[in-house]
Amino acid sequence: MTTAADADELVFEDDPYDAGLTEAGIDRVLALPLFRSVDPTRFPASKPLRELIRNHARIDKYERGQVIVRKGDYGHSAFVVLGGAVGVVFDFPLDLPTSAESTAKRSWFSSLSQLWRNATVPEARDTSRYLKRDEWGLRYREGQAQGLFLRNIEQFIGEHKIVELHNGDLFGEIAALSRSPRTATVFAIASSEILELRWTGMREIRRRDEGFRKFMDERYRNRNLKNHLAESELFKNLGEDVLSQIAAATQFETYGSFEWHTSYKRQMASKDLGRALDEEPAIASQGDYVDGLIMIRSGFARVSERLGEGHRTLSVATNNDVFGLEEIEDHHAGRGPLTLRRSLHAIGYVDVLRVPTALVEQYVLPNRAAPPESARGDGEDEDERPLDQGLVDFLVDRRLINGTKAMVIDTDRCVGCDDCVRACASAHDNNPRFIRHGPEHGKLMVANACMHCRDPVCLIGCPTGAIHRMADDGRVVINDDTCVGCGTCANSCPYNNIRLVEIRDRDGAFVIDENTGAPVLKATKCDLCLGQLGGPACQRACPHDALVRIDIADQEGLADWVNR
Amino acid sequence: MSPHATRWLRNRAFLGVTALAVAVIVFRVPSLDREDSALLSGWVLVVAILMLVLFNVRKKLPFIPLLTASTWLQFHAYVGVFAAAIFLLHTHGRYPDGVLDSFLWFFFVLLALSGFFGIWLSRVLPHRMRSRGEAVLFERIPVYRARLAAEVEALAAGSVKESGSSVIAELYSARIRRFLAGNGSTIGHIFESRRALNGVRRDMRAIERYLPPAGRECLAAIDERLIAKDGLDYQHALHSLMKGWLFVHIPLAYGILPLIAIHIILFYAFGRI
Repeated sequence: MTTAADADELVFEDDPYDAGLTEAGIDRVLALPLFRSVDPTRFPASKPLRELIRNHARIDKYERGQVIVRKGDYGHSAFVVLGGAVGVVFDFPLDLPTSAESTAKRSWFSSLSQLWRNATVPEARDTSRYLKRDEWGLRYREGQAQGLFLRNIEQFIGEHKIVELHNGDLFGEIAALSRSPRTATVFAIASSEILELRWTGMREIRRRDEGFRKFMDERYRNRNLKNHLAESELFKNLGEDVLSQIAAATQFETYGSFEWHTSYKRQMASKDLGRALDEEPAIASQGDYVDGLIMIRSGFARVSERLGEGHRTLSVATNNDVFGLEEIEDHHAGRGPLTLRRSLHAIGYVDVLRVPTALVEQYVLPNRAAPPESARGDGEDEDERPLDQGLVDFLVDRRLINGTKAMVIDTDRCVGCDDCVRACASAHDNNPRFIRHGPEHGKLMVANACMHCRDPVCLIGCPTGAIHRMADDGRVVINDDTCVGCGTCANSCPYNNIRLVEIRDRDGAFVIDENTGAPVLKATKCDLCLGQLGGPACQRACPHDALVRIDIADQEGLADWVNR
Repeated sequence: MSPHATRWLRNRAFLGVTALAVAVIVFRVPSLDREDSALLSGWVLVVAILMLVLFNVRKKLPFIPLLTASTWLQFHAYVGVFAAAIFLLHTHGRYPDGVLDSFLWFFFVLLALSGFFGIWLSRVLPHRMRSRGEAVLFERIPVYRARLAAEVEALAAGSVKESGSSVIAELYSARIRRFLAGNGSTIGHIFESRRALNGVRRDMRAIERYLPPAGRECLAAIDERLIAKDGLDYQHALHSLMKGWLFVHIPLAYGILPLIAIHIILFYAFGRI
């Protein structure tokens, strides 16, 4: 059977990362110290190492001052320096500066002035803003809308602490492997040649070659794992030595497809959502021996139990949730066997840590005061479960549980007055940023508004980092000034919540790209009324309490709202 | 505090304050002489009406954090009830004599009735709108309807070739095409009538016996689309009602303001007893 992950890879095989990668280029990649020890015999004939490199690698040239990765970007690939030198800077601002009116909290007068200052034509922009990009220390490559450049490289190097990387050095692999934002900005100090390896290829090599896996895991272990464990409720009270011991024994695993939106869209088109679970890779299965405590590092997973011929979804496990703790506790207390009572399946893409059971029993259980939030199904009694099974299936099968600020509408209360749409438009220069329509289950509708996902796949591949997650509150926003309208985010959004619009100047004339003669496009979506007083206008504008912005994975909160 | 508890507390607070205000006025007004009681109830009514109008002002300012619109609507509803009670006190429950006062009386009564009607609609219609098919955007209904009409036309035309019979095509020309055109009966849908749909389906059942298996399949496919079209008409009718009542309520609200102003001016100019 072809799984979703396999199917995605098949797509990639038809879509090489760099169609111009030559045989000599592949030889050059394979000769790197990182790949020299990889054993080609470990790879099946259908997917040899050389083909993996051909499909997932690309070699790019970067000019002095050109930004390679930006702090805060959602990376999907790792890089190796092939020639030249790059600089790593940690104290570069996370967010690109944006125009003051889009990010700063408005004053009361400024808010009120929207009454008369809002544009009378759709998608009007103050185009003079786009000419000020240089003021941020960034500029676009002449004649191309690809890549960002540091304006005054000498001054920049003088003002920041830079770590230099040279031939053969690897960077960006932790963010790519752990699906987390880049922690540093990397730029070319001199003209450089850089190998970029797509995550999918890296995962495949890691899966097949033990040496490569050990190398990658060791880097992750040394740089991130201990800190991550220390942040968890379960491990935070343990000493440094014990944490080191646990980190050394913890396995790092990934499941599902990094770019899961491809298979998701296919699944939605097929409308066979009842079989959604069959497509999801099993992380742990009911009845399996509990060899370790599973901790979700990123992404989300379905907790289910067998019912008849299928599986009944109980809940969703997300970041820092643990799975299998109850079983370990019960076994430790002599109350039951060490076998899983439920299954855990990866929905989309999931990173997990597997902490050996023996270590949990030895160090965690004796020091545990109160049970942590556990991914165990939120109550086994049917009556105690906050949401009905049909609604849980609807939210999980459609992966709506990805939304941390989804727009949910109670259609039993919604009278279709469109006050929410008008309020949204008023707060966005007379342009509504959502559609009051979307998938429905019973009386609930999840409208086509950006959900500010916990796993925002729309961020993957943005060439300028215009779409990004804000560091302070996690909302996903688009920097209109740096968006180049390429449509990558709109194509990647699994829920079709990003729209490309043709922009106009304040007089209503379309803004035309001088090079192509076509109207300039910008990606737009809900930004939760960034900069507006009082938060999302849509929610506050609903006279019937029919609309809420809510974290769908929070079943208790959703149930409170649904049953109010 | 849960959303349910917050809402419960807010509504009870509004109810309590409204009841208290009505009680104070009801007990206070009779103890005053006629002019003072008219003045007190009249000015309280003016303030209440201005507070009611503020709801629409709030709607124009969604970017200002002036409490949520749902809190404003609750406030609007309770102040509306309070205003109706004061109106009865102010007019002593009688129809006035003068032309202007008659206009004012009519405007207020219609305004109050349309307000209560609106509350009733907002409680009843959303549930009804979901009872026939998936909720659709009002503006998209003509698009969906046109799509269904095109599909039915294609099915009817194709049936001649597929079933070798023109029975369906003839019924389409004589009956189905008319059903597919337009919005259907708005009044009929508001009162849950299915007469139009049942009529056309009856005619379809009548020709079923003359059709080969392929023709029957085609007829079933058409039937499915007619039901969907009827659902769209139904939603269109209810949406129209939901939007339409505001075209009564809001003009009345703005219309009553100048009448009130004239009433006050005339009262102070000529009406003192």
